[in-house]
Amino acid sequence: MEKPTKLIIDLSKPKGKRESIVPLTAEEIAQREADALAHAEARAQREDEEQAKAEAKASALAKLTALGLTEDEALAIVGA
Amino acid sequence: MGINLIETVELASDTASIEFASVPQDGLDLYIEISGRTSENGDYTVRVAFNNDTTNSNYYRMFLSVNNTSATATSNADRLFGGLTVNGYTSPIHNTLTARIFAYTSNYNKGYLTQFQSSDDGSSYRQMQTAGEWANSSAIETIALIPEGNFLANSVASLYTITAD
Repeated sequence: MEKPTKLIIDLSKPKGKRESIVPLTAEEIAQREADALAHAEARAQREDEEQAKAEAKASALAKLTALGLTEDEALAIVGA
Repeated sequence: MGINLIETVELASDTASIEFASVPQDGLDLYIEISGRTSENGDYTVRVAFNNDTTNSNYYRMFLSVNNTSATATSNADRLFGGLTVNGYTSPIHNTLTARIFAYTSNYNKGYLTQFQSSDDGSSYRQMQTAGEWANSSAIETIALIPEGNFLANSVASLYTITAD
């Protein structure tokens, strides 16, 4: 597998001589992997929380309508 | 107020990071524009590192995402800077991330605002903005833009300074 590379644009050099492509260091690759993992974990946690919130709302609506409230009345209580 | 193109580059091949080094110190703010896509082995996320600082706890951001059915806002201490549409998604829109970095030579914390638009099905669109701050008093001399996966070949990145005159 090819090693990932980065493009460095050194703005202290004259135009046309600024660009160089270098392989990422082992440290940079490890940082990328750690960032991706943390991002995936945070997203999964957020999605779990949103799912739990939606389920709780649906459950509350069902219980309120079972008590005789209309759907509009139940929504007014739990939030549309 | 003037806006001055410092450099624009088009990637010849897929690239894991774009780094502007030795950023001129004669501007008030910096403006960045990236047009392109990211590879399918990541998601739309693009991160930043100023002066090679990759410590997430030195950054704080609020991220807003909205379409015609939902809106979310998340905040976290990390280097999320924005995003580009992932290759393979059928977005018909142009895929451009723009960012403004304020008072980048000042000796107080550096603030930035970014925005982009994306679509993963070609029919619904999602607008996203990031407001962030880098807790560091040093002038910004190096900016690394780091996607998950790669920036794809033919993506174009430009750096501008915004000046008073």
